[in-house]
Amino acid sequence: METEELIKLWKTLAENKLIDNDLAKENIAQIISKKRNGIIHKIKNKSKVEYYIYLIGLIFIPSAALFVHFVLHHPMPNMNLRSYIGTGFAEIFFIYMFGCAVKSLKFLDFSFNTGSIKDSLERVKSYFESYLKKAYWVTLLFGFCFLIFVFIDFLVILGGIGKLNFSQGGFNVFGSYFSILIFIIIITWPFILNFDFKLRYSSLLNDINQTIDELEKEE
Amino acid sequence: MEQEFTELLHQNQGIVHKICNLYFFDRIEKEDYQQEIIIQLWKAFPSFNHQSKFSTWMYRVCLNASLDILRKEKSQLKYIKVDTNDLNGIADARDEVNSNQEKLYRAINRLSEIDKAIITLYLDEFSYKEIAEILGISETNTGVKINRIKSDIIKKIDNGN
Repeated sequence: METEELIKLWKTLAENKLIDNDLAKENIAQIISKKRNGIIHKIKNKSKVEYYIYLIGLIFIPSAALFVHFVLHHPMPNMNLRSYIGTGFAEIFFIYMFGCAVKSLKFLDFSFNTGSIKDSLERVKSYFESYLKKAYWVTLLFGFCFLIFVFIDFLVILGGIGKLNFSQGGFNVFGSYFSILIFIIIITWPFILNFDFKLRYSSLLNDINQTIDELEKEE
Repeated sequence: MEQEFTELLHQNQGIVHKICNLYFFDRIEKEDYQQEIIIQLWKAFPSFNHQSKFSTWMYRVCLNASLDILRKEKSQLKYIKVDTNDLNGIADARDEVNSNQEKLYRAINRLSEIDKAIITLYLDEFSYKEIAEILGISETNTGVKINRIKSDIIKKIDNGN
């Protein structure tokens, strides 16, 4: 088969099978005036739900604490320094997740359509890598602080490392095993996080890298 | 501006249909993809400086938008299902010409995202220079890639696969 025949075949295929419906001018005008039916808009709606859940969470926690302190005029039941730190961690968690939701919305808004395909891919790659790097370090540090706090808190409740008890039953045994579990998680935290990030994002990054390599490869 | 855009898009709408049919297989969502690409074209339209052909600019935006949609969907862990009805629709044809059309369609669909873009542009008779500009690679590299993909496709059609 010659090139000319191939081009002719492609044109017939395109006319018969690929250009499947006539897009009227009115429809085009309607699509660009609505701008709301696209697939990205649908994905964005899902991210917006997360955004509002975390926003409500991060507003609710300090509001509830302030309400108890200043409106009811008494500290929260059994309020002590550890409870304050715990509440603080919950608040930081919601702020962090809220930040992630904002980033996700920004990613969906980010458009790569004006440059060449290679430029666009490189922009996606650099945006994604920088986002992942920040997300990794923030999660790593926040996770370490939170886990260490929980570990120390349990040790304080149990009365110190010397009071760990694995045989007598009741809360002490649960607390002892839980403390050991938390300690193991602290030690393995960077590996757990690394594994999680690889699981979630490596295929996307590999995909981008492979496409760039494929473009650049001189044959 | 809206009128000019609508007019130009209407004249070149085949590009949107071709790209949607080659990159997206879910028939139910194909209309959504088409609308998304049109929205992306509209957003990018102010950057069209009339120095190149509208079809060249449109191909670049459509290809970028399609690859962009595929990645955003992957980032949301949403996978695209291949709707085999589309292939069967083409496979229904029985005569020699339609059989070759079917083979060509299958051969193109089996290519990678980038190879698919290259051969589509080539078969739509864009010059090597234009294809190289759209992709962001050298003309020499474009030429070599085109020869490789073309001979691969011709071989598949001639061998009946």
